[in-house]
Amino acid sequence: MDSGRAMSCGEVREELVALLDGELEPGTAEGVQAHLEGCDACSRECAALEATRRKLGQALGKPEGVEPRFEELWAEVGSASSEMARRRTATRTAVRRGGASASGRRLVPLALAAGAALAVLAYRLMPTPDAPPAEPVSVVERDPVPPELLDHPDMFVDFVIVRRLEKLRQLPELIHAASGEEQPAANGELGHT
Amino acid sequence: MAQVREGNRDAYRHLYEKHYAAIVRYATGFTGNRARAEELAQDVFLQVYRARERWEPRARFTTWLYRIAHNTCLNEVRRFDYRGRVGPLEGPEGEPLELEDAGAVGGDETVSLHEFEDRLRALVAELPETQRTALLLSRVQDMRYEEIGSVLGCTEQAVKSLIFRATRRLREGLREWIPEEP
Repeated sequence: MDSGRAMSCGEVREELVALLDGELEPGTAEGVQAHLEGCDACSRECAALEATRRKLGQALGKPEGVEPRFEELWAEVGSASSEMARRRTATRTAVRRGGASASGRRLVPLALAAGAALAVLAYRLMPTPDAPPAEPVSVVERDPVPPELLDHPDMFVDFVIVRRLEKLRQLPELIHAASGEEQPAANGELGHT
Repeated sequence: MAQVREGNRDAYRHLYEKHYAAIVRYATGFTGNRARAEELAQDVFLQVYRARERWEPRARFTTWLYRIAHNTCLNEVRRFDYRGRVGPLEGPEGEPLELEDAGAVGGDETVSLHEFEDRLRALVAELPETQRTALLLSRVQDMRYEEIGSVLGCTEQAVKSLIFRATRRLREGLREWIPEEP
């Protein structure tokens, strides 16, 4: 932000929250302050945003009576199928129970219809006696599932991403290794084409 | 954290007791459910221990911790049956939480205060996930924009924009309780 140029109301308002958070560069902060001194509308907006920030911090920031439960946690660290895991599942069920039971009832006819459709599809896909032998299919061995994921299947959502990210991280090394060993061949191929 | 990496129970306990309440606050703000937030916080620290060998000493521990907390909360609210399940702010026994300066919010009546809390909670829950995370880390955890950027994997400028938009949205939604001064 050019501190030598007067800022417009629109520019100032986009900076107000960062100003209140103390996150503006000194030059920009001076420009905003100078504008606020001469602009009642922006000053009022600034006061309202400050009040919003304060109320938000009060309402969300300090729930009382948080009791750490380290022993429970440590027991779970050492135990794959602990009592705590069961209780958490129970809590989840309790959290869901209002909407889940009603929606579950609504889904019953849909599930029956889907099951019937799958059965028809499976029947049609069954090989007939005259059918030619199927082409061999190569089977790629998958990475073994880490044991902690068996305890926390909900982590699978992120784990797929993490695993891909780890492969991505290894990519430069793989490329480097491949180029080191196969560079002459690759060049040779390029030479032919 | 270096000692936790080696399986030191006391060091792990120290980390847990230092950060547990903050993670509960964050998860409460994110999910809108205090009881569930406490369970999620336990999950977060369980993941911290199980992933301790992946922590790199050059990384700031809180950044790593809140990344785990962020992902855990995202997984929770993205469950198919979780959307829209936002209740009023509640304490561990289900009692409504009250603001520190209750009288300053739209009058002295407790009813008005609870309405304000409910409205605020609903507005926070309606924010896009990245705006909600940036806002909570800033307002509830007092985290700097630079560290929030590290948690979310974005620039400080992007964080500034997220927090600005989130605050403006809340300001619009709370106009009834926080009127503009004449």
